[in-house]
Parts: sequence; C-alpha cells; structure tokens
Amino acid sequence: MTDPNTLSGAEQVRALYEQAESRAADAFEELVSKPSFGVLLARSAENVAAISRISSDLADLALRNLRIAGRADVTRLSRQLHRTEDKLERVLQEVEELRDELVRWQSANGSAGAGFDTVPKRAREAAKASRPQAEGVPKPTRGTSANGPLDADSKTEPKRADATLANGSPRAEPEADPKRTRRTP
Amino acid sequence: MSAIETLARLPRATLEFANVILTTADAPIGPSPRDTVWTHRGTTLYRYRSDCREHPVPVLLVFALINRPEIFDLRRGNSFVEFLLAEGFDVFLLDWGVPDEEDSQTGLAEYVCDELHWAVRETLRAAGEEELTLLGWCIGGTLCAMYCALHPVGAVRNAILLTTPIDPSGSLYARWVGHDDFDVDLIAERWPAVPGSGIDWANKLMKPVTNYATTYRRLFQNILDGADPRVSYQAMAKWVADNPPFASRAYREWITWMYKENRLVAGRLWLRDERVDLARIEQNLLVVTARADHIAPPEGTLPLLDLVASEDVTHMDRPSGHIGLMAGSQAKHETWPALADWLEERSGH
Repeated sequence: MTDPNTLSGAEQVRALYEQAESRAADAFEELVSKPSFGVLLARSAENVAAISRISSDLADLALRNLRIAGRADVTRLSRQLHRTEDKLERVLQEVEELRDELVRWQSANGSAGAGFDTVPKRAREAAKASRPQAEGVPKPTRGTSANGPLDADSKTEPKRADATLANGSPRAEPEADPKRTRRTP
Repeated sequence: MSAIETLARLPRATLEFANVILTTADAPIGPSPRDTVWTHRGTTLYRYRSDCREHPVPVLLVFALINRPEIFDLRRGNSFVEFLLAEGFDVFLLDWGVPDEEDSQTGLAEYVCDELHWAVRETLRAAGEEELTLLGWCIGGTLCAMYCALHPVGAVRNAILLTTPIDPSGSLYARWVGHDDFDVDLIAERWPAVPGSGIDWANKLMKPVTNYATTYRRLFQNILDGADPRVSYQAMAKWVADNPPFASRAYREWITWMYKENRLVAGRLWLRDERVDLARIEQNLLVVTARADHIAPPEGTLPLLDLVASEDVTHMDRPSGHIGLMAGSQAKHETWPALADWLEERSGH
C-alpha cells in the first residue's frame, strides 16, 4: 500500500474519494440485498406498470376516437402477420424437406435433373417409405401459441441428410441458394 | 501530476468527457460482415463471412433475451466472432430481435421449440453439416441447456454454456422477484412487452454505486490522466444501453419457473408437453462460470455439472464478471483461446 505521506495533495484527495466511493458501494449493495428492498422494488414496478398502462390506454382511446390507427390496431395487424409468417415458415420447411427427399430419391435411382413433376407419385411414396429414420435432428413444429397447442409428436424429426454430401458431390454454398436468399427480408 | 497541472487539464478533460458520453450512440458495434441466412418474425440467423473455415462443425452463438447479441462482436480487435473466424470456425449468430406488443404471447416454448429449433435446422442446412456447437450466454445458455435436454441425441454435438442461470435460488434476483410480493402476473398483464430499460435499471441497481458513479468517475479519470478510452468505453456503453423489451409471456415464465419455483434444476419444467430433464443432456459440455458474477453467480450454475449425463464435461472458472468474462480486457488473452482449444478438439469429422 502506498504511504499517504508520499502522496501529493491531489493524489490524497483522489485516494480519499475512492475510499469513500468503495465504502458507499458496499453499503448500497448491502442495502439492495435486503428483502425489504425487494418489496419496495416490487411495489414500484407495479405502480410504474399501472401508470404506463393507464396512460397508454388513454392515448389509444383518443386516437381511436379520432379514427386514427392506435397501438392496439398495429399490434392486432402484426399478430395477423405473425400467424401468416408461421404458416409460411412451415410450408417452406416442408418444401425443403420434399426437395431433399427428391434429391435423395434421384441419387438412389441414378437419375438427375428431374423436377417434382417428373417423379411418379408411387416412386415418391416408395422413396419416402424407404427413408432412413434417425432421431434428434430439428423438425418444423406444428403450430405456435398463436395457433393453438402443438403436436406432441413433432419434437423429433427424421434426420435431414444432406444428399449432395452423402453422395460425395460438392457442398452447395448457402449464399448461392436462391431459396435461402428469397427468404431474407 | 501536480495540482496545477491537473487544474490546467480539467477544462479539456471535461469537454472530452462530455463528448465521449454524448456521442456514445454513434459508436459502431458489430463490425464483422455477415449474411442473413434465415428470418422468422423478429428472429434472424446470421452467418459471418469467412474464407478460412477449417473446422466442419459450425458454431451457433445464442445470447440472452435482455440485451443485443452484438456483445459477441463488439468492436474490431475485440470481437469474439472475429477471433473464432480467425481460428477457422464457421460462425452463426442467432438474433432474437426486438420483441414488441405483438410478441406478448411468445413464451419460452416458442423460443426453445420454434426459434432455436429452426435456427439449428437452418444452420445445419447452410453449413451442409449434420452437427453443430451451441454456445449460449446468460439466459441464452439456459435456453440452450433446455434445448439440449429436449434433443439429447442428434444435431448438437457440443454445448458451451457461459454464466448460465440453472439454479438461481440463492441469487439477488431471486431475493427481488422470487417472493410472493412481486406479482409477475400483474407486470406481464400490464406490459405486453416488459420494457428493457426497466430490466436494465434493475440490473444496474444490483451494484448502484459501481454502475451509476464509478464507471463515469473512472472514465473521467482516464481522460484526465491522458488516456484515450473513447473506443472501448463507447462500444461497451452503447451495447449496455441497448435493451430490447422482454416478451411478457416469456418474462412471466422466466420469473415464475426459474426464480419463484426453481423448476429447471428440479426437473419440473415442461415445454410443449415435454419435460425438460437436464439429466438427459448427453452433449460434450463446457460450463464457464465467472467468480465475480453478481447476475448469474457460479453457485447457480454449478448444479448442472452433477445433473447432466454427458461423458465429456468441462468446467472453467474465471475471475471476472458476468460480461467481463467474454468482453473484458483479458477475455481475448485468456477466455477466448481456452474456448477455442476446447472447441477445436471437438469440431472435427
């Protein structure tokens, strides 16, 4: 520890201030750790929430009476957009899985360049039936809280095998994938 | 420095101090170039550009719900993302976005079973791999632990949990919000999106003098002493001040399940009719705690080590704080290399 006698006046003032600050920090930390402070915090949070809600409701009421869209209207529209986006996400995931299956099926049967329309339905079903079942790889879940309860069986999913990798062909860079870029905002 | 010299420097230091404070919002953070891989609602999955991806297993970074994930990529020369890219990792970042009133019904199940689940799926598709590393920090770590418990086999090969609340019963937070007087239902009903500024205020109140006085005093002192703390201070201060709201349902569930009922460690937490049993975690696991962490103290994380079924479990304890662990001045010399070493051994084919 530095000898106080060797310190200049300014340094002594600084040291004293830091000492006071350190003690104040300890005291305040002890204060906020008391259960009573928790109660005080809880009441304050409730009061602020109540005031905030009342003022927000009043402002919204005024706007609606003026025939101007308020926060509640924007929120309702946003929720509708969310529901649509949820459905679109699930459809996109299904499409991607079907595309992966098709590539696997084509690889297994030695055909190349065939699109969805050229694959006979029976062949697709056969490919699906013979698909290896692995567990633990993500799967799109069925529904969100906005759309009701989810299927319990949607937690596990057949493993997404990357067909191009499985067959030793070069891996596609995601940036170049039009499906990926299409989905960016 | 003599008293006269100090007095002479005072006006300039005051002006500089004011300038640093007032221009903090203009500081650039998150500088590493990245591409958007996938979006859903407010959630975005990014992939950082790199021309030296050596390790096949990609790393998916998951941050908490109460701050922005730019802390992983704070500023050039002090960025964990930059470090991982230089080490040859394929780095993805999950950004939860900024919830608003329309997200009031987004709960922990939506975060874990939808957003994180789909982000894992999209990461694997983008990387062309079948396994990845999940790296979660703070609440992000808890969400990752829940995900690993729900999916013990398959996509996640490695899990790294940084300062993660698992059993927060002894924490200061539990003392504040765990008792019956704190009516979380009332808060969640009245605030469809609990303001991030309120949560930040509560966080800072844990160390009020340090956060509201010492930080600014030190900044002024550094400037007065002739140092140039502008870049480092502004990046961190900007990140600290950026607090997205907490979706009210997720907030209610987080406070109730973690702090009031302590369900996770007791194995009584259910997401979508499935029990989150930490004993099911089988992934290679690295748990990092920070000794000076007052937000997620080590005692609240360590019970995880005894619960999991993983055969490969590593625990690192660092002498830093909750954020300083990864963003402090010593992080890039100590914590980051240790994480990279652990990852490198487990990221091959």
